[in-house]
Amino acid sequence: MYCMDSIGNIPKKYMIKINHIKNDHTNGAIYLTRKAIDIIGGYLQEISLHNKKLNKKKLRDILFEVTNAQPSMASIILFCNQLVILSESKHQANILESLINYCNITIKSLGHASENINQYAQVFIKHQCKIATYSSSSLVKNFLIFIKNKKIPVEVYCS
Amino acid sequence: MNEGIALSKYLARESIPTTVMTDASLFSNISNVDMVIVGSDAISKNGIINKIGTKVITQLASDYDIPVYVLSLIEKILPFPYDVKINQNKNPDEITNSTNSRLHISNYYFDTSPLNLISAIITQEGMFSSTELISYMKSLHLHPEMEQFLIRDK
Repeated sequence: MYCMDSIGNIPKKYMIKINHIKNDHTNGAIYLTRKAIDIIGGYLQEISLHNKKLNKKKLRDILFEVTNAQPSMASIILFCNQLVILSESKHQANILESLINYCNITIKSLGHASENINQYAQVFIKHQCKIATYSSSSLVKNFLIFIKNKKIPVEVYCS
Repeated sequence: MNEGIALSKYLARESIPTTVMTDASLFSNISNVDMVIVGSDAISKNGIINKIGTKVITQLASDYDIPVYVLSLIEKILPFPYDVKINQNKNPDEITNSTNSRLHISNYYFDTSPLNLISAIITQEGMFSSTELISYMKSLHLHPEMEQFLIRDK
């Protein structure tokens, strides 16, 4: 039966969000990985809320579609990879719960990533040091702002 | 493209003393800096995958004994022995819209800086030396069906 609410095996509302990831050539890994988790986490939460049975085939289709949206983005590939592995686990009593937990853990990890990296990286910074950076990274940008807020004077060279 | 310009404008607005220059100029002046800090798109056993030109910067920095630090999400570290597909020639019109069929236009976005050129990889879970990184990569597993997105290296 043809259904207007889905494209292939994937509900249309998820396909629209996946296409947003696919067409985003501006934002970096943290932003896009969070968007990927929002989609997959949302799908899993919906199943949990309605006490539905997890359809592993449909989940896998969504995971592959999300990965395909940014096929070179390591953080999305590895996030989806972990969910595929978890979904096949024979040791988990509640697979749905473990998948939702993994989404929550990853969101938390991404949320604190910049802050933690700043703490680790600041040991290398000395007063008045000259720093070269290349292209643009949101982690590097956040770190340089962190250094400024710490009142450590630095000079930055970009290209 | 022009991501460095956007970054430099942002930093200047934040009152951080910032100089923006061409890629070639940065390569030429690398001996004048105390350290290099870059991000990464992915990290494999072959090195740091980042915007093309990073490899030149890391090699030059190494030649001048200037430390190179990579700030990265731990989620970008790939399982051993996999790598991302970076050898894709992008839209030639971004370089020039020549119609001369004898002109080959090379437009690659990424390169790989070998791990031996990197002083430390700093993630939200801590810092990794090259040796620690390889051990961590070997602890990761890739589902066989996800292999299509990566290259299995020898």
